[in-house]
Amino acid sequence: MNNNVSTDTNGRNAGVTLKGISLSFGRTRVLKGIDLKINSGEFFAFLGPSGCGKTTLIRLIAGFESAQAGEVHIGKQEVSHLPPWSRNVGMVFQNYALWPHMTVRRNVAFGLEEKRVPRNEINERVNAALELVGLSDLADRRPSQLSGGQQQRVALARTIVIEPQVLLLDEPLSNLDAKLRIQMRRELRQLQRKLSLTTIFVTHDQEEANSTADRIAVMNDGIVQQVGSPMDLYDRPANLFVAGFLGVANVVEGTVTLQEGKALFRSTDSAVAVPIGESSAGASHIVFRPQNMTIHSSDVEALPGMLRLVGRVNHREFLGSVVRYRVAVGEHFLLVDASYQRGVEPIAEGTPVTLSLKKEQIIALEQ
Amino acid sequence: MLKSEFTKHPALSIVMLLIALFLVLFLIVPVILVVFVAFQDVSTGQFTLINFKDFFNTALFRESFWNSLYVGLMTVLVASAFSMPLAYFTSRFEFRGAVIVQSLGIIPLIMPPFVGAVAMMMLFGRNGSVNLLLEDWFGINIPFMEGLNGVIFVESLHYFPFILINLSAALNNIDKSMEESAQNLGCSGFRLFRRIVLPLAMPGFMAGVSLVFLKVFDDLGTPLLLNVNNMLAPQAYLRISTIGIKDPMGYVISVFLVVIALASLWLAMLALKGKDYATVQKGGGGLAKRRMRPVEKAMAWFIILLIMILVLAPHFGLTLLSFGTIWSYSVLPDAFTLNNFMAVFSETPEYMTNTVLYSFLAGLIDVLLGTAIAYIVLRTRLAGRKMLDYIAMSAVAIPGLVIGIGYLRTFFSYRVPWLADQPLATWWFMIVIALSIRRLPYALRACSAALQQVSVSLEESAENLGAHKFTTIRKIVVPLMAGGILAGFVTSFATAAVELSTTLMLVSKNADGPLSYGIYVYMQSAAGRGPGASLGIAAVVVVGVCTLISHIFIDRRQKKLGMRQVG
Repeated sequence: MNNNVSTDTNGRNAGVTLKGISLSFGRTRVLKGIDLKINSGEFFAFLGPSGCGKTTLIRLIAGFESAQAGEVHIGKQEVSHLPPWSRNVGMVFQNYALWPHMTVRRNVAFGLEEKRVPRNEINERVNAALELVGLSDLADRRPSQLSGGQQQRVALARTIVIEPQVLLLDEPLSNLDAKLRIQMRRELRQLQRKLSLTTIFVTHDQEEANSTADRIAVMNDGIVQQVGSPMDLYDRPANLFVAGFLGVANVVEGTVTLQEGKALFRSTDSAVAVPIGESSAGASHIVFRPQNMTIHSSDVEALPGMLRLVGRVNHREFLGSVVRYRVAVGEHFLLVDASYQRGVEPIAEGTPVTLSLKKEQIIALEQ
Repeated sequence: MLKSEFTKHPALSIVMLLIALFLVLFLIVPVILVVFVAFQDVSTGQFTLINFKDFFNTALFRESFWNSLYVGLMTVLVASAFSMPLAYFTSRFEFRGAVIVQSLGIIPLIMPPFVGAVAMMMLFGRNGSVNLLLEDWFGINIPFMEGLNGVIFVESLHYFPFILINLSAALNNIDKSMEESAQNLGCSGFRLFRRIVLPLAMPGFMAGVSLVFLKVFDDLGTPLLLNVNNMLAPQAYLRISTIGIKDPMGYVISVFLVVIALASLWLAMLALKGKDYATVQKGGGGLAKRRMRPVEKAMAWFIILLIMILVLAPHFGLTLLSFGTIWSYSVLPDAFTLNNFMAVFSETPEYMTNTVLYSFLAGLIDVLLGTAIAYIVLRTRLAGRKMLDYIAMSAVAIPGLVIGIGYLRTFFSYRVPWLADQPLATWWFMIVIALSIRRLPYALRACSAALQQVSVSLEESAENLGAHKFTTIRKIVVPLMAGGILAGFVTSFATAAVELSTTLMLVSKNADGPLSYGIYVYMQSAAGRGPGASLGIAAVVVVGVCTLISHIFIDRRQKKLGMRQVG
């Protein structure tokens, strides 16, 4: 009797469906009604701040936590009752969890030994997995002799070799230094594409999520705030939290009034006034990105379709590729990014400036 | 470099020299002399191996050698058998009895094995309480205490806490993710235990086991009090005390004891080397705990009850003995009385007073030396300080018996002028020095740990504001170390109070004897068992109270200063 997760028709990959998952630790409600569908072969990210529940959710899928309500489906099978060792999902832990008393080879072979795969096939598959992650010559080392990046690859090889239906990565890059992080996320993505492996990875870094994921679920306080592709989330955030989490955002609070039949969004200090479409009549905030605004040190006429704001440079930050200006407009401080060109002197602090912004770049939100 | 360090800490350098002198005189010289004599021809003084040849040619000695090894190994096995189920229950399950298990672990430690040995004989001996009952009910007689079995039984009961603590700590240090990643890859149950948990707990376990073997191998008191003389330690004692300090066999045996001790320590170090499997990760260490099923719970409580009965047996037996009148060939003593206690405290109060005196002085010496060495090692760059640390710690590898024999040999020919030309070796103060040397490693560790809790910046800011080195030490460092120092003193005191191996060798007359010696003397005769047991109770009380005080002191002090737990 096979009590394990069966592979579906194309032999390997399966999507993951979560229905109505609610989970509490004692009195603390950690997950509050999660509904998610991750498609087969997708590179999916759970993105959110510490404590939002993303790690708990991934551990739930692996079988290390049990929900008080809801179902977990892997492929077509409901797996909520299955223990971790029967689920055929591969999980890479944040600290890699390599067994120090075993060599790299033994570590990678472990899952296959548990499946009672014949010895020569184990050796073949282990060698193939090690080659896939580029560690063939380190097979006989111990984990303590490897660098952080190498350890992570071993952890990866160890999970891939068993050909799981889903790959789960718990903040896989957070223990690596910045350069290595960028390199590894590229390699992870390539590997995933090559194997067409359904992958869910957990991170608090929006840059990581944006650059690698097909779709992202943004979480906060145990609730999925929004699901979509990185650009979807960036351009059309559902609420203020998502808007602020995916990247730097200028947020202006205000109300919508009707003037001469047209809806006008007016900030509380009236410094910013923008006509907006009827669909956003209930907006309480508008959001726009620093890189979408243009800053002029001389006065510039208001063009049709553009919002014109007047202010003074409060602070200037050199970030290498951009210069970030903090401009005082009325009671607001708005961030404006200007691409830095070598030889062109950035605007000095204290200079009166004009900002212009295309109206299509403005996002209206109702919270 | 040497010069500049000296000028930086002139006073400390002198202190270091004095300490080194003390250690050389009272640790290194005696031990080396013992080794020397073993390789020396008695008549010519030339280097020879003939003593060792004689040793192996004598059947009694060969037998003793193997017996000591056998007892050591069996103790380790039996003690492990006691500790494994307990460690398993506390680390794998959410178990309410965990507190009981922890205290089970401490109870044997407050009674040295030799103190309870005779009591165990009364309870489990051939004519002891348990066997009398078994004969009545079932007609059988179990040889719990026959010959070597008795030694193994008593020692395992006493030493299983060491192994339990080591095992529990090793299991608790295993990161949860080690187990979870194995589960994720399909492993569970006993396979998981065998492939992942056991190998990761092994190093810590092996280290603990080596130390227990060492202590059992060297133990003199327990075999002597159980009348088991065909083991190495009793043989050495008997040779020296009956034939004299010129007899080479005692020294030969000492060499074996030291070699085995060093081998055990080396094994322990090897087990732990490069295998720091303890990882501190998010989510904490320790394996996942699960709820117990009713059957498992019942089994757990049953095992704990059984072990608890055994663990409390020596204490129970000792209490009976101390309050009993005549107790022989009966399950319980004939009657109960306070006479034993009265006799002991009125007729031979010197056992108690000597103990308090010796242990207090030994403890004092230990914390003074310990603090000084710790400060020199951790806060200065004086040349040779690491060596000082090693030498002080090396006392742990020297069995008490060997120190005793070494002192006898080294200091016998010197006379103490103010004591009517009595040999130096038998002057009671030598006992104090021997005790302090034996306990120094532990006191040193306590002081080191305490000092490491004190940030250097606290001293530097004092010096910045004008305080000299010794003022700083007096006003800042020592007060902040106080908790650890006090704990070190109290443990030195407690362990010195019940030390027997060295004491037996060095005590020349009963009037000089401490508690442990008094117990030994009383237990030699059937009539003396009662008073001996009373002294035993006194010893247990002393150690128990000291342990309690030391825990309270450390806990309270650390909380008050907001510092982490020491040790």
